[in-house]
Amino acid sequence: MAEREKRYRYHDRDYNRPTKKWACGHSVDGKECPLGPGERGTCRGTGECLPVKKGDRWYCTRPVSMGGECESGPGSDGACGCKLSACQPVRSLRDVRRLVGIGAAVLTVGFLLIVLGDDPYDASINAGTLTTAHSGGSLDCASCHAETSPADLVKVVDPHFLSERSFANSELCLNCHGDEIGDWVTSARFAHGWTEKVVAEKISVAKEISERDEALRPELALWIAAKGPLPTKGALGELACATCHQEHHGSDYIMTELTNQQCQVCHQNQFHGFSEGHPSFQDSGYPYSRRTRIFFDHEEHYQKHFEGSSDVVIEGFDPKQPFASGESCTHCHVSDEKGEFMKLKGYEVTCAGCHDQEAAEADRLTLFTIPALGQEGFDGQWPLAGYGLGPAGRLLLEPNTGAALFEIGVDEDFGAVALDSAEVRNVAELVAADLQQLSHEYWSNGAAVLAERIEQNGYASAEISTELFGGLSVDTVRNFLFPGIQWDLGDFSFPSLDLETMDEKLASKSRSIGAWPTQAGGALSPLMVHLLSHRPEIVSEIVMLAPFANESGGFELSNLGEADQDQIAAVEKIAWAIRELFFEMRQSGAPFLEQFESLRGGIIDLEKTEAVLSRVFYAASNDAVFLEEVEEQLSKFRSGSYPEALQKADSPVSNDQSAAGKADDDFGASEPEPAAGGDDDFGAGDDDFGASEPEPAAGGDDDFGAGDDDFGASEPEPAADGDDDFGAGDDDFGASEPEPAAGGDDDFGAGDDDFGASEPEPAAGGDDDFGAGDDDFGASEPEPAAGGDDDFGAGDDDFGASEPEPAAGGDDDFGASDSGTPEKVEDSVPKKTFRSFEPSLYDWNKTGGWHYEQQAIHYSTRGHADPVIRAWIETSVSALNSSDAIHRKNGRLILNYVLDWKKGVSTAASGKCLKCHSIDRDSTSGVYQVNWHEAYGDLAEANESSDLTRFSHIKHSIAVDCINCHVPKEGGDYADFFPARNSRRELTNPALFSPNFLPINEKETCASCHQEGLSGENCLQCHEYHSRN
Amino acid sequence: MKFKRRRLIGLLVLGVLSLLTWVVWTVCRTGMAPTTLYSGAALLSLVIFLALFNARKKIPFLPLFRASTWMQWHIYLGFFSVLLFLLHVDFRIPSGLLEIVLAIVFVIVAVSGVFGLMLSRSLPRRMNQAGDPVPYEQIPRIRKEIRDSVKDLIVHSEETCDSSTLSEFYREHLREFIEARPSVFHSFGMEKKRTSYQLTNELEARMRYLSESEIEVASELESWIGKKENIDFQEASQRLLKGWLFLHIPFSVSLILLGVAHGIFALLFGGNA
Amino acid sequence: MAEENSDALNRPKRWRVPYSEEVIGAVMDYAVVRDMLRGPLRGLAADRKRFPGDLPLSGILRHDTRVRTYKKGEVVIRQGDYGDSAFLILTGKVNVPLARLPTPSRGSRIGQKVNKFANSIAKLFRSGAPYPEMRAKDRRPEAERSHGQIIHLQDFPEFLLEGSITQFNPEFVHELTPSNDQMGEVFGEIAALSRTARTATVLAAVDETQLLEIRWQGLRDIRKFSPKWKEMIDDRYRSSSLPAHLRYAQYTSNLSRERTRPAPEDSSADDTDKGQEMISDLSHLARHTRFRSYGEFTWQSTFKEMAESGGKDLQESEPVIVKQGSIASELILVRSGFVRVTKRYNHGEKTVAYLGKGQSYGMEELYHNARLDPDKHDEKALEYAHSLRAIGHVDILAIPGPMVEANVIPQLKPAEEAELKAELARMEKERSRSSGSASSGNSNMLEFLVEQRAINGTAAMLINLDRCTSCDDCVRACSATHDNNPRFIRFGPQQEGIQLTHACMHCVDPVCMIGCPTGAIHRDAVGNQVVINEYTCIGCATCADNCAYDNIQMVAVRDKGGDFMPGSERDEDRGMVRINPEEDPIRKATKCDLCENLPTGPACANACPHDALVRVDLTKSEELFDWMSR
Repeated sequence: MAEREKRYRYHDRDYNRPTKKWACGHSVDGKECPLGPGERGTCRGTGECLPVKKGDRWYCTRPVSMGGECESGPGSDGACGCKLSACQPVRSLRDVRRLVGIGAAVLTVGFLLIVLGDDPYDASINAGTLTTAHSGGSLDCASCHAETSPADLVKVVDPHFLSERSFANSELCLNCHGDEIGDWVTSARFAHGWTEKVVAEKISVAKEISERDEALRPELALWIAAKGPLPTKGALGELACATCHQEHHGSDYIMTELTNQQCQVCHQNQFHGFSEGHPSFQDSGYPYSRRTRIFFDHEEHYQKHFEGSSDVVIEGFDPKQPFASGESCTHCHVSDEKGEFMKLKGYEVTCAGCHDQEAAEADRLTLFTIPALGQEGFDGQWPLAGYGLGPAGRLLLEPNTGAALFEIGVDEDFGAVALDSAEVRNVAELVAADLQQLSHEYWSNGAAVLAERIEQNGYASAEISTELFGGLSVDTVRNFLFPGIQWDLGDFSFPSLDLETMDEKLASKSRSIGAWPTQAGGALSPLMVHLLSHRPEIVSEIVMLAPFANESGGFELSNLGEADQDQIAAVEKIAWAIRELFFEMRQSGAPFLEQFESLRGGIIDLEKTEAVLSRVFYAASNDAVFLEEVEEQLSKFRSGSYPEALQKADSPVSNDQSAAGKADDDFGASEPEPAAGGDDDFGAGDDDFGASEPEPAAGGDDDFGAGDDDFGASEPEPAADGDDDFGAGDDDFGASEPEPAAGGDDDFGAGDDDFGASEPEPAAGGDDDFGAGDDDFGASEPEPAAGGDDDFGAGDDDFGASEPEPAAGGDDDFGASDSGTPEKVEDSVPKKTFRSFEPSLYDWNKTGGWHYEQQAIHYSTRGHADPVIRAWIETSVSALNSSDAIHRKNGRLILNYVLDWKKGVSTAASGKCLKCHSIDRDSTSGVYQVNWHEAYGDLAEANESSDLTRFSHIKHSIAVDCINCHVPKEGGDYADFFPARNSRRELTNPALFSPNFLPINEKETCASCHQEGLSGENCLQCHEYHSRN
Repeated sequence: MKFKRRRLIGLLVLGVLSLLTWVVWTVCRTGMAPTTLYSGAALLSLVIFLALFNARKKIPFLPLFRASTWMQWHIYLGFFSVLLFLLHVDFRIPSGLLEIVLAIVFVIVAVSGVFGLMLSRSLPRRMNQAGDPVPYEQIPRIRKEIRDSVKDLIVHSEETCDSSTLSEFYREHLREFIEARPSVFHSFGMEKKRTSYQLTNELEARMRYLSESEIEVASELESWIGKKENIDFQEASQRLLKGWLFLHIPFSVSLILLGVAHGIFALLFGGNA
Repeated sequence: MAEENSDALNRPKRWRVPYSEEVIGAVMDYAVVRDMLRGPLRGLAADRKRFPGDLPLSGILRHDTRVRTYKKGEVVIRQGDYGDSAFLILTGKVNVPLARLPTPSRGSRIGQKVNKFANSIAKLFRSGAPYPEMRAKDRRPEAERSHGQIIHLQDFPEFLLEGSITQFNPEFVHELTPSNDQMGEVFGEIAALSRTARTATVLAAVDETQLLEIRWQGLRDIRKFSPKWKEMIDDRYRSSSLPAHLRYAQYTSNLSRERTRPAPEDSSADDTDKGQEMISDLSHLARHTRFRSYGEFTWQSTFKEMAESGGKDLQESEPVIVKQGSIASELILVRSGFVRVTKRYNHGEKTVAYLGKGQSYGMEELYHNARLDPDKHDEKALEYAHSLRAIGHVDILAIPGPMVEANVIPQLKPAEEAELKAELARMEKERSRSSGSASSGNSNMLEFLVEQRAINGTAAMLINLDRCTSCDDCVRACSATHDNNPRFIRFGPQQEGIQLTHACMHCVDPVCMIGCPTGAIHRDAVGNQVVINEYTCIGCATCADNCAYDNIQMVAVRDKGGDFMPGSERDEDRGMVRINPEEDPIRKATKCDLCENLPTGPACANACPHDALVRVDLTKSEELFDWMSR
């Protein structure tokens, strides 16, 4: 107990004073001096007490606690008797701590000063590592942080200041990102980078929706968050970049992360997830917002056309596939480079297989016709008959003429109109004058004139209007422009010579021009002149014939009465030259004509080589026997010996009537009477029909029919064609149509045939094209068929690629086939058989391009995407959009009567463009436009411009089959919304439609994969924040 | 109020507060609100408030709640500030120079704080169990007393009963023990020098060489050894108890300074986003 | 070292400041004294010669008394207050209402609010002294001057219920008038001498009531040197304050005060009733109550000696009041001081409890015995279960068993009876158990507290060493509030990890006040704490020596330079300055003042961050045990 008590006696000393800064150094041995250290830690202890002076004496003042008054007592100087050794006061622990604290403060401030004093662009003030993209060399603080100074600190209290700053910083972001994000002032600071206007709209819309849809209940947290202080400015909620894009979080920090919740904070309609509450696709009928631009009824194609047909020529496509299986989609549809959208593989791959056929069968367009305006009153020659001025023709008329025409309200066909009323007559005169005027200009300046007219009349731009007449050549049109002058390929024929004169003049020299067709056609046509003039030596002869020239640049040789020797000789030479010409032509065909390169754009339009050839040879071979003879006579002539007219004359007429025989006998034997002989001879040659028809003109006609009989057995088809074709023409023209024309026609069929047989390269294609038409023939010569097929296929491809200059394509192609299969060409030369038949429209269209026929200029498509027709459609449609009533009317006329658009789908229009290419009328602007392409282009464009949604077909196609999303609609009425709408309004209204496929249902379709744990339902999978405009 | 109950309530409040903060934080995150601005401001002001505890100690005469109440706030809000800190740095290690220094300083302060809490809750009991408490200021004196008296004892025993046993024992082992100052970690028994237990054992071992009178001395020595042991323990513990503040307080000072600077920079450069 | 005693301070000594000067308007000069000795204090004047030369009666009256004048209805002393003065009626008269008045809550004396908050704010701007215990040269604390301020009856609403004083029911009023006998009429002396609270309230009954207020030092000296006076005081006690005490004691409080029974013919000398024939039960009881006191008045000195030798013989040294095992014959009421309750335990006695003022002992036994059936002989009367020992100075009242049986038991409240029965049952059980292990688990703590005499403290500073990190925040707080001077030492005896720290406990029985020559250490009129008036403290260290707990420290004060203030003393007799090393330099007694003028209460308890430190009232052990079991 006592022990324990003692332990507590520490406090015999003074209070413990932990607050003291200093402790006496002596405290260790318990002898601290009474005074203790001074404030500054100085030792004040000199002695154990402080002696006090009273009077003149010093007194010790040592406290009792330290032993009371000391023996020694103070010294005389007042110093304490018992000194204490000065101590080194020690700091108290607490004071040391205080010092350390101060030290820490000083160090920190120093550190801060270093950081601050540092060059501001140094990393020391940097709040953290930047993303690699932003840590580029040229960037410094100032490139992202707006100017600031410590003075701004006072503003910090103002809440606006902060947002001001972050907005100021954001503007700097745009120095680099302006292109992606847009301009700060107009869009960048607004939601999604939309413009102020758009945002305002969106907001109001969203408000409506949210007021309407009570159904949409957001999660509570989300709701709070939305109410929460999103640091936006203004009513439109302007945002600073850094609101989402935080920096200084390390080089690999992803600055663009955005959670689903965050997306929804701003949005009025918040929902739980994609599968739950996401705005429905059906509302917009997604993805079908309008009818397809190209009229293609999937269902119909599958069920009608593909079903069972084995020859659908899409590569690898199996027509047996039912509509409802997604196997075959990718044969026509392919994704674009981005893989976002599907586009069509293109006409040639997908449609051409069937629809080229269709294009070929389509009617030709009859663009310009000569109005038949009665003869009287029109000086010069004006055709009595004609189609009437077709709608297209109106585009060429002078504005006032057009206006006048519009006034009298004569509709589609301004032709067979009675000119009784004076006003109509005036108009007719105007038109005629106009046309003549045009013709003169044309004659001097060429096809450009027409384009100019159209352009001047404001129907089309310069380039379109040139397109309108692409490949139109002078000669095609000339007849149209110079009524009465015969100029067509029919002129490639034997001119009618004054045989009597010739014979008598030549007989003396015992020379002859050999047998010459009596019904040879008219004058030596300019064409022939040109052809002949190809041979220099002949040119001189032709020059000699100048006196016989006629105004059309040809020569009238049917009466050589006044001809002198030289001229006769010239004629002779020419005659033989003509023969040779024919002969060569028969031998080499197109190559022969290609020698006349110089004539391109002049007389012969090589684009129409085939057509020309076919006609030439038909003409040439209208009498096989004769041609045989031509050959034989030529060979004789070349061997220098002139054919004996007499000898020849005999043989056929062996079993002939005596009268003639007698008549013949006397001089026939001695010296054949060329004319008679020739005549007989000739008559004999055509015995069977010669007799049957005394009257040549009629005979010509009959001869035709007879020829028909002749070949009737072998092929009924061409005959039928012929009838079809020329029926009308025949009626119209009747006698007025000169023989040669008919002959020309006759020539044609056979020439074609013959040529087809003899000339593999160019004809092979055509030949094969017939192939489908007549089997026996194709069968007779398989090889060229095969060869031709290749060529033609290839040619078609090229052609289909719609090169601006089809002919070139054609040429190249032929050339290729030449080099490709030379020997084939050689031995594929068949035994020449001559057959005569009328060319079908089919033939025309196969060749395509411009041609003139019977007072009218026609155009046949050269295949899909024919620039000329396209141009015409564009022009007429744009005319519809025009403000000018006349334009509109003319546009409509062209569409209705030329392109035959009445039924909504053009059947007549060559190629039937408008069958598939629908015409839309913009519901707001009322502007019509033709849909040349499928939606893809527009979609992609739209996508580029504003949309925030991204969808990748290609990505999805890996996982799912097309029809998982695009569910085919069985028994749909898709087609009802294209053709056969009763009003054009409906017809051109894309909003009226019924898709081939069911709308996509995000619940069943998308959400089946897009949900947590599967493909995920992150907003950013389909949406982007920044719109792309 | 019983301590158990108070602790329970404290933890409960802390838990609720943390949960609430977490929710608010996530919500604000979703709401694209400038969470870093908010958490930063909250953190800075919280740290300053925590630091005020020390200031309050300097003005005990003002009626501003009891120190123990402040202590409670200090403890629980201290833990809370750690949560705020984590949220503020978004569970990342900052990479900026100033930021990283700031973070390190914060961690030091927080850790030292927790350490200190553990000490002040555990050591006093152990000190109390070890022996009589001693005023820190008195320790050097007492040590000296012990040293001197032991020395005297030894000298005395040498003089009286002429034998060197005890003096040898003193020279070999005892002196080191008696004169040494304990290291801070003494209270964790992390010292190489002989413990009182070993010493007493050795002393016991030598008893057989001792005379009657010496044995008395020896037993007295033992009591002194016990006292010294106690003093050592008390001193070491008290040094620990005072020592951890040498980390906690100075670093808090620089923490606040750095924090303020950081805040200023953030506001000036970053704005509110 | 100091030069010529430039800043030498006139050493403060007794009577430096006359008592009268502490209150405005209370004059006290020799003339007044003379008149008084001729007038009301004639009797006292007779003993004049008995007073020593250096402590003349006139001097005492001059310096330790003052005349105060009251208007009708003004409160002279108030029940429950601590006062250190007695009153002698000069003119007019006062009333002592017997109605119980509300005891004022500590420190909130009506009309006496010190602005504590202002104080604390003011401290903010007072820079702490760089050196310990610095004092301004001659500072006279203002707070002291508010002493003895008078309050009015109107301040007691309860009181007014009973109507204005004028029409007091005479039964309720004990009227005092200046007596004609030599000694004069005195009241309030008991509280003043025994350092206890006033037992009654006294009001001035008429205007111009003049009272002579005598501070207890004066009273003590007069009592010492004037036997007559002493005799009078002691007699007075029985008559007036005993009934009052009984009125508030545990079991006697519900005795009727109707004057129903005739006064016994043999009216003893101490009969104070003025010839009335009827007296109340209470008075009756009072008549037969025996009044005893144990231990000396200044017990602390012996305690200190005994404390050296330690617990057991300390206990032995305490006078026995009741012996365990003796037949229960009286009911013991503790009037003042503390009583240790012990129980025999093997070879020693274990403290199981202690009784404070107002508590009683032995009621259970008496109750049991009273209900014994005299015929049955197997039942025997109960003995006391414990011994009672006086701790320090104890006054007890012993009521004889028969009196209890006759007067008290019949009037017990049912609740009280139930309690008694229960207690009896418990005791029965305990007795049946092997006389050994005493019930209370805290007996060690009790032992400790009693041994340390800590039970005396109303605001003892306890520190839970299991929580204390010795961060010294308490000390810092204390010194911060006391101008950089701590007022306690964070150290002290400990038991079970609880440290009884060396800070003033503010004892119920502040022995420190004994012998203070100047009354510098006194009960604060406001908070009733024991505080030291540094201005009047002469550094005699009496209080420090008196304090049984070493909780008063004498400090050497310093001037602003940090040097000690040397004192000079002019010795009139020899007319020369002499330095007395014993008292050099000037020292002052310092101790905890419970931060009486701070709104926060004790700064130390406030400042402890670890809830280790507390100020508890040990007179009620429950408070302590609650705190311990946190």
